[in-house]
Amino acid sequence: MLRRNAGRKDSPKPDTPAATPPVAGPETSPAKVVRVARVRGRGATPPGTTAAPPGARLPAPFATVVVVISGIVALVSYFVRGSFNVGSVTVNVGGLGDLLIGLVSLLLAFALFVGLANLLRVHLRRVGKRESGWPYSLVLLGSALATIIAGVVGSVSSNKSGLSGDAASWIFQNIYQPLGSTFYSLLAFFIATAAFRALRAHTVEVGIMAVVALIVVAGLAPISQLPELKSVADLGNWVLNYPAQAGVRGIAIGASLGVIATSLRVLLGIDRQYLG
Amino acid sequence: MADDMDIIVPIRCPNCDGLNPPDSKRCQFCGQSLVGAKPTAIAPPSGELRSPAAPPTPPTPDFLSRPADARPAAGPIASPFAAAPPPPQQRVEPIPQPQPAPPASPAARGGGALASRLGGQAPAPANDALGGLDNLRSGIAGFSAADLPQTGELNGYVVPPQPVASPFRREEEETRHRDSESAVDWLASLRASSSLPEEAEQAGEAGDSWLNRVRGADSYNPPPTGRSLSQPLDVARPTSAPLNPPPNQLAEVQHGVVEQPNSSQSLPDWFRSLRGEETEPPAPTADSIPPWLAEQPAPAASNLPAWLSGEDESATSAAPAPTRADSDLPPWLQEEATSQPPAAASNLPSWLSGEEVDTAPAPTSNRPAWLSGATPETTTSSSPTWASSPPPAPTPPAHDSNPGLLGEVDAPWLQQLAAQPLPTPPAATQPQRNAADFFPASVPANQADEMAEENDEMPPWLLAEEQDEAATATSQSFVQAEPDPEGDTDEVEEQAVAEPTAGRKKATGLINEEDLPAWLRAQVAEQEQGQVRLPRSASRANTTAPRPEQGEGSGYVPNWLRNLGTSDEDATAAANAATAASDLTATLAPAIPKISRTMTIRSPRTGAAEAFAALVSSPSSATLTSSVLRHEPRGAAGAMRYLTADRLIYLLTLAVIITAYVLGQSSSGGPLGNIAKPNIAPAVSSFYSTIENLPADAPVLVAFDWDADRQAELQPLSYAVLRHLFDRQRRVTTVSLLPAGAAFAQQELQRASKDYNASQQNTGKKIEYLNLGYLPGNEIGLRGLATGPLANALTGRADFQGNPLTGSAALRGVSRLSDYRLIVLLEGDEGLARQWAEQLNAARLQTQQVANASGVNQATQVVIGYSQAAQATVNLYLNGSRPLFSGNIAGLLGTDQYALALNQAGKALDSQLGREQRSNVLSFALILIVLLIIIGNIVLISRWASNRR
Repeated sequence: MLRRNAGRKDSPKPDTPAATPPVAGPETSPAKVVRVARVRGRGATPPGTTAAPPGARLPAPFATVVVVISGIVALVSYFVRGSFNVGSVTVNVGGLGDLLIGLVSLLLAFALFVGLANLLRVHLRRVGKRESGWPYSLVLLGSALATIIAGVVGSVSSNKSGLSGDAASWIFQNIYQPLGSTFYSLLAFFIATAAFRALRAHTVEVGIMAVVALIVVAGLAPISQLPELKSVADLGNWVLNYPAQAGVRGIAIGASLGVIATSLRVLLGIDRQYLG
Repeated sequence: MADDMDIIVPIRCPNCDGLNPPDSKRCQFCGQSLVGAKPTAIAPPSGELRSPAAPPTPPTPDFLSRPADARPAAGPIASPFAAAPPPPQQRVEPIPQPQPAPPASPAARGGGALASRLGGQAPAPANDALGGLDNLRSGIAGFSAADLPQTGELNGYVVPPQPVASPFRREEEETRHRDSESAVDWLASLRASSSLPEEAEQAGEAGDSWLNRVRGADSYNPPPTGRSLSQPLDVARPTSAPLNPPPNQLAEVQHGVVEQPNSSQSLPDWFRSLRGEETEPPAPTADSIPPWLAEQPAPAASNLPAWLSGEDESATSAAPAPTRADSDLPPWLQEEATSQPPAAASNLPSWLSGEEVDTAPAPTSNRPAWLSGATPETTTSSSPTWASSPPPAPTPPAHDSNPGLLGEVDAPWLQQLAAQPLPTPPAATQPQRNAADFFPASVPANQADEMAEENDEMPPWLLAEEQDEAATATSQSFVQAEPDPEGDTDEVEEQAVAEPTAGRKKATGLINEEDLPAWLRAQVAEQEQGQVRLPRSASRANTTAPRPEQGEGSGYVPNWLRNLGTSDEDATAAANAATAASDLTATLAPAIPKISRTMTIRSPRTGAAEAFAALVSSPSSATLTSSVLRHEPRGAAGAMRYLTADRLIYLLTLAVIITAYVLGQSSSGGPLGNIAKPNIAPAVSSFYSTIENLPADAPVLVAFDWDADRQAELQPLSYAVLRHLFDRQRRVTTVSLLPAGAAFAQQELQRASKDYNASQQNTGKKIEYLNLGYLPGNEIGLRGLATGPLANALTGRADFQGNPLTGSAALRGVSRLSDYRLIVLLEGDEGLARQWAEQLNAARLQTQQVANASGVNQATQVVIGYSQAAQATVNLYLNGSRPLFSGNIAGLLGTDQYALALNQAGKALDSQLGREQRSNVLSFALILIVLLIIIGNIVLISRWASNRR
């Protein structure tokens, strides 16, 4: 009896929580019930519950195969340019790789529209629900719509596309650029206060950092081009070219190794986080 | 004088044995009909005695009209006579005449207290119903241990546990305790009538049980059947004997001696016959007085004890003891009896001796006020005097006067008891004290007098409590005033506790140590010693502990109830804190005035409080405004409060930048001049030379990968590069990995082409440029741009302005990235620079492979101009065996060098680039940052130095 029950993994045990089917109450949606049942029964749909709608997700094996094949083709196309015949079919590996890259660029271009649509949806909902900060969302929506309308109308009227239109160009030059430059210019004041507070030699490490920062900043100043201060400029360049470059290079090499490892995991189908 | 007292013969209920008035038709206890029941020969209680010649008396209180249940003292007094009739030889003996009072015994004092209580000499206040019993308790407590009979005997006699056991008890104790039964059982019967029967079972308990039982008399509950009152009677009466008929011998004596006082129709026949001969018609009584009481003649003095007969104390106390055998008397009474002459036969009551009763009215002074009509205001009141009248000033009972009602009783042994000095009741002794006795010396005299007046109205237990508190305060002041020089505060505490204890013992006066029994005296001594040994917290807590003279029934609040909610730990902590505070105060006492004079403490809300005070005191708005504004920060002080270090740095940075920008506007650098005359770096020279060395009409791809955030840094470089390319007649194609970069590229192309066209008006040269716009996909877009056809990488197959790419002069001969002779990267972000570097390296490798395969070696040069922040990353691709970039320009400093190179080449772009102004501003800003770093570390070092000092 015990052995037979042990062999039946799908049969619910009386003492397990899975034996009690989740009851759909007012706070339990059917989708939630299905999700809970899947977690408990490891994919087995308990009786009385609705199954997930078919076709909602790409089957994992198929998606993995697509990803692995595309990656391998793009990788091979980097090293192998040209075509070769497989039976009566001529395969241009380089062309196939370029095709995939072109598709990716196209998809990424459409991603801008997807992002814009998502941005409008989120902020429209905040404005509709009067959530906190909804006036800012309203300003954002108004600005986005105004820019889009100005670009479309301007492009149509002046027979120019995009920001090349008169209205869009005016918005870019008179609104976007000053705002962006001003916002970034605030960093000058933040850096000044940070130099006063953060670069105090509380510890040895901070002291080293303060000394290096002092040297680099002084070397980057135009006044350091004076002959009297040339040594300061040279010292600053030396710090940037050797110690700093060594650190950056190590970071870059480590990151490159990580990218290679991750790419191998994806190509081998081990890492499938992209499936969600 | 004593002959005018008649004996009231109550009717005993055949059902419940309760005593009822003679004219009662139904039993007042059980409701049984008393018709046909014969009176019982029993001595009337003192309150029921009345002289027939007395003036109209006030209405009898209920507790007197119902002696069986409501007056506990009535039953016990009558019980010895009724239940234990004296033997014949005793009855024929004359009642001893009053003799000079012997030394008062404690028993007499107790009896005197009871007599004074029952006689109404000092009626208790209305709210002190239990206080009267408290006085009784005090009187009983006044007995010494040697004078009192054995507790067990007394209790065993007084309250037999069961009526059926009475005969056995009587037989056992008849020979040993007859006198104690007849002499002091009136006290015991008092307890028996007022206490629960269960207390009798505890007769042999520890020494203080008798006192506690007496306390139990405070909460008197009438027995439901009146059995407790009849139990003493049962003791002396055979259980088989009927209770209804009175004893024959008494009935005969009564009929033979006492005449019918009058022919009142309200009196029963037996009573009328009893009084008809010698008594005069009684005076008209009030309606509320029962007839049987109103018409009672005063009993003969010879029939009553001396303390009941109302005779002088001298005569009463000198009355010899009746002819009672010594064996019948307790030891303390035997001594008294031996010192007295034998009782004469004339001491017998008239109703026993057969003599005529003297019908002369009793002296008014010997009667209570309520009975003699001295208090006419109480005649219309049915409530007892002690309950209705305000508490009069208590007066100590005079020893030379017998208590009123009980004074009519002619009993020598009771007269002796009454003749002895009485223990002064606490309420009576308090007013005679000096007010200074109650309060410590720190209390002023007038205040002490006021408090003493208040104490007059206080019950004794509360008065004693206040005395304790005063003593405690005295002890605390003692501790504060005289700290222990040796630091041993425990000894000081012991003294502080021991002294109030002694003071309390002296001040209360209720129980003197010499009056206490030996066992109680020892217990008190142990308790006092225990208080001394207790720790500080416990000793402080015990200062309010209940004392032996304070019972729970006297309204005393026990210590545990008073300190309810306060744990011992809290009490200990509070005591320690108080002691520490007192010690600290005593230590700092000399310095506190100096400190208070020299130090001014100002709370944060002082300004608001003063403003509010000004508003309340002065309605003038000017005053209020000045008061408020006085605390407002004014002028520079208020501004300095908002000038923090960060704000100061902000202001300093802004001031430096503006100053440098304003002073460097002149063409020669302004007053500051051209501070920084940059030396052209080799990388900048290479950059410049790469563009210079390009062949004519060479296609050049320029990447604008910077946004508005880098506009100030890369816009001059971008303009300079475009002008340089235009001047060299290069075909320029721009592309951007950022959407905004394409717009900036378009903007700079238009500006540079415009400037170039303006400068080349006479030459007629045209420039060709193309803005490919935004290249999406970052690495992927660059990958496609670098490895594939350009048309495939470019989206829309049109330029930034929407013009078709086909037929563009700028793309002439260019289908792939490798077709460009020069790629100029203007990178504002290190990430984009890295992407370009990676993809261009791959494309260059592929180009070389293709070139090698095709035999064409077409090298594409790459130069980069970037922001200063991307220098570290870009340097990775600048060095190496095969560097990607042939030249680079970093930040504004590189731009200045590049502009200087252009100036040297005759293409002055300083005015367009604003090089001098920018260099001056940048130089001063960076110097400021350097100074801030130095100042910050100087501040830190100074703090370290100050901390070390």
